[in-house]
Amino acid sequence: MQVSSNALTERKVRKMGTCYKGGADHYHKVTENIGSVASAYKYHNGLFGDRGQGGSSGIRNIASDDPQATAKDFFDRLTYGGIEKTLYYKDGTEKGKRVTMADGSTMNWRKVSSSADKSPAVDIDIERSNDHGELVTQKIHFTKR
Amino acid sequence: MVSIDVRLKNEDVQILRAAVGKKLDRIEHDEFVFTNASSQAVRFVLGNAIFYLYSFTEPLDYYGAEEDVAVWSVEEKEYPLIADKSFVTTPIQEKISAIRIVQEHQRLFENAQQTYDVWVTRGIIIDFGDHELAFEKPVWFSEDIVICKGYDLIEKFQPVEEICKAGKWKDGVTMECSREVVTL
Repeated sequence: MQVSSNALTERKVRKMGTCYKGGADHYHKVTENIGSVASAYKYHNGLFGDRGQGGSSGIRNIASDDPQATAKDFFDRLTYGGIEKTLYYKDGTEKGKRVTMADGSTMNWRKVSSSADKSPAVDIDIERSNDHGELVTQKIHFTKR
Repeated sequence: MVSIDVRLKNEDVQILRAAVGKKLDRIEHDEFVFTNASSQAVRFVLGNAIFYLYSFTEPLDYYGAEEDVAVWSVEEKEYPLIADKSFVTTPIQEKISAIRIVQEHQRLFENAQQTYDVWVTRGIIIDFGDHELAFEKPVWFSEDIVICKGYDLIEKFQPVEEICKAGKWKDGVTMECSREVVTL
């Protein structure tokens, strides 16, 4: 009998007692959530927001009046139905959250980044994803408008 | 020209060098849920000796912007975050015949003039003689450590061509990227 890796992961998650983020009834792929994010935030050629500082086009900015709330809303939309874990600083205090989706993509939300304005940041890593549409690996800073 | 070196430090390499010839009893890492990655840390147990491979972000100049860049270290020290982890054990029980460190050299050019010269440790490959265990940094900002077992695992690392992709850079900016392997 052949069992998909997704089904195996769902079984493993049930065994671990893990819940899907946001109370979703199944393990979501990132492609299931992109529509919700793209309806609320600028999205073009797999990249969110506007080009940020530096030489890489994978560094993005999304400006708003409340960067913390915007970053949290963005992250919650993008990672709905994923499996969430905590990211730590070396001293054991919480740095943010890391979510793995059913396609293998991972997203991290950091409350404070190292940029000059200490803006919150969300990074998207699709390097091990098997289904991510046109979404590309990128890091998004949430800046003050 | 800006020069940045985030390769493993000398003291990190010495810890790896001391492991060659010894039996690796087990590694301990985050449970694989979908991807074969551990977040921020992997523990290596060789008899009474223990060391960690850590991946933590540090504020660094990432090609013109101050960013959180993942930097690897090999340390015997156990940081407090380990107490919050629920590591699983992967038994190995193999003698280490060699350890290979994959060092990556990235050179950024703006209008044909080199502006950045960057060295980064892309991965570590433990050779058991007839098979390998590899640890790879997947993306510049990622604190994940990708773990693979098999043969010729350097071939499974993300190709340098992916890193050099023209579309990832602003107009007029190009990157050259190559790797060298240091065998311990």
